[in-house]
Amino acid sequence: MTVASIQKRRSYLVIGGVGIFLAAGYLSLSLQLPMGHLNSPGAAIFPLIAGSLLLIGSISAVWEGWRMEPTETAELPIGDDLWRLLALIAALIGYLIALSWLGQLIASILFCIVLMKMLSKLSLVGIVIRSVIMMVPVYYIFVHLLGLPMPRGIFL
Amino acid sequence: MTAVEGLGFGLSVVFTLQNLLAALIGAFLGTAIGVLPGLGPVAGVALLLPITFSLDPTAGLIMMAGIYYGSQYGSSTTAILINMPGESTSVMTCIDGYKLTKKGRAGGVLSIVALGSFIGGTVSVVGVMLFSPIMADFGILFGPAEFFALTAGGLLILSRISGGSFAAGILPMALGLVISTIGEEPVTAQNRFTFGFNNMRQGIELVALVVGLYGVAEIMDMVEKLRRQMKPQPVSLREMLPTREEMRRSWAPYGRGTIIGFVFGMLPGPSATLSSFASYKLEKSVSKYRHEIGEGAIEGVAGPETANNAAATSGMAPLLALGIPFGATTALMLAALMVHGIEPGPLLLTNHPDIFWGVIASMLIGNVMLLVLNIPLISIWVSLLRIPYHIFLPMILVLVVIGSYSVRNSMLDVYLLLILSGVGYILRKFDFQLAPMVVGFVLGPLMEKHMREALFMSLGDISVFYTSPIAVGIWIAVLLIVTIGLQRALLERVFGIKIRTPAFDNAD
Repeated sequence: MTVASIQKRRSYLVIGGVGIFLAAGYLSLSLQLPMGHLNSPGAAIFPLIAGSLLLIGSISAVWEGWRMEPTETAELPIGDDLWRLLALIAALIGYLIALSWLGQLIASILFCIVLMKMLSKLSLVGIVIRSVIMMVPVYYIFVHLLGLPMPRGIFL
Repeated sequence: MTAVEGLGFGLSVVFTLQNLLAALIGAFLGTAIGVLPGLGPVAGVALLLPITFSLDPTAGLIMMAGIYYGSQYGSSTTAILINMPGESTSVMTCIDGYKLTKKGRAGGVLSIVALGSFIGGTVSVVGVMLFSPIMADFGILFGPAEFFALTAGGLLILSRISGGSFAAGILPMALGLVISTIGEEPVTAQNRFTFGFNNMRQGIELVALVVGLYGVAEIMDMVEKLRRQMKPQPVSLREMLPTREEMRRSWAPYGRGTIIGFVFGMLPGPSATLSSFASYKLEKSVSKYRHEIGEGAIEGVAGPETANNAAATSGMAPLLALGIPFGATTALMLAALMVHGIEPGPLLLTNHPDIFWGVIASMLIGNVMLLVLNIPLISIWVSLLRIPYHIFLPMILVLVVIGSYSVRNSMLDVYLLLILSGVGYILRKFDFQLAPMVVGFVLGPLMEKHMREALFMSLGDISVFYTSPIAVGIWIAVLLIVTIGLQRALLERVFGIKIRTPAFDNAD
């Protein structure tokens, strides 16, 4: 396991900052919604409350980050761990893109091959065979047996 | 209908093929979810949510309840056999459970845990059966202002006692509320924050949110920390018999764990986890064998595991009687009820006694099923732990994508799943709490509805929120609980009195 320790206060300051930015945008959009009256409140009232809470939460994150001891740390992955995580995210993004184009069956088999290659030391042939054995029944159960209209892709 | 008559009616509801199957499948899947790392009960229930939509509401809720308490059973198996808690509720079980496994007592301990979970769950069902109608009767006195106080106050309490700092709870809670406002607003059909996307009018899908936050984020964490997979030794049926000494020493922790679990389950927050911490601390303080706890004592396993199951069961009482979920999993059950067009709340008992009593009775049957599933089928659960990560992680991810897509047949939900997984991963990494976000998302629309109804019915008089005695009582209770840290600091600084609440201090 390879990790880098970073000051937790930095993460709180960043998350709080992003939250303040989001809350400001959300509140300004909420103000464009109908306010209504007190006896018949409009669509803006609840978002204004929720947005204000988000602002309070974000400011408190910044405040806590500001006051946090520099010795408090959080662990972030580096090296192989980071690459594995990024590879998983890339594989997921690729899977979602492939899903619309190649359909559920082919995209799932390819995704499975990539992930198994990443997580195991099996041979490519072994991985392909396992992926097909795993994903074909999944496809038949969900698409044919349960009738889920999963993306079929351009080949089917 | 008295409690006994209600139970009789509930049993008549459960004893249909569909409902019995729902309880059995729920208990089985729940145990598997608890055993396997990667999918917790929250993500597991969310993933199966679309399936429950196709069932009638009673069967759907029975299945979800089965998954919930089944996962409590299952999570102890990994804690005992490989020192890895399936859920946070079994963290304390690792300490003594794994040491007992190393002493060669794995089978006996698993049986003690199964029996304790059965006792805790069953006694708790009886408590729920007796308490829920009383709570529901009280709930009938509630109007929109009182319900607003209950939902908003409950959410505030949950965000404060879920663990971590003020910001770690309130920020995710507010984010959940904000996300719940996306889509078409139900009263005036006004589109909010849809940015012109037609698909967004239906709002953010609950399954994508919960599975992303809990399921995929957990898998990202597992892949990141990928370490050598621990494989348990096989446990034969013959080894499952506890010794007479182990049984004798377990009765008192069973009793204490049941009481602690039942009480904690009725409170907002991660009650199952907190109750197992509290039970462990209690055993360390009062048990006759307290000096052995931590070194492999049966009391350190029997108490916490009984408590977490009792808490998981009694957590159903506020949901069924008041329509208020005090945790992420019960929030999903509430959402399932609303999808079926059923108004959760105190009128559930009057309008849908089949659901109310059916679910309660199903928990009794489900506990028996779990006892039967856990002891004789232990070799199956152990073999699940032997499945390599490179097989089950891709499988779970594919199922997660199918589950998210299948709710509305929309790729947008799958894209949102990925985005929310990233949000969940980051929040977890820096110790922000996810449960308040899910509960905020589910309760947001209810809070808005109660708030608008209260203002509408009072002709815009905002004093309606703080003049009703019940609402005032709720807000005072909320204030007392939310400011508990401040009160503690004040007592310490002004009077020099130190108060320790170990269960809360240690909860994750």
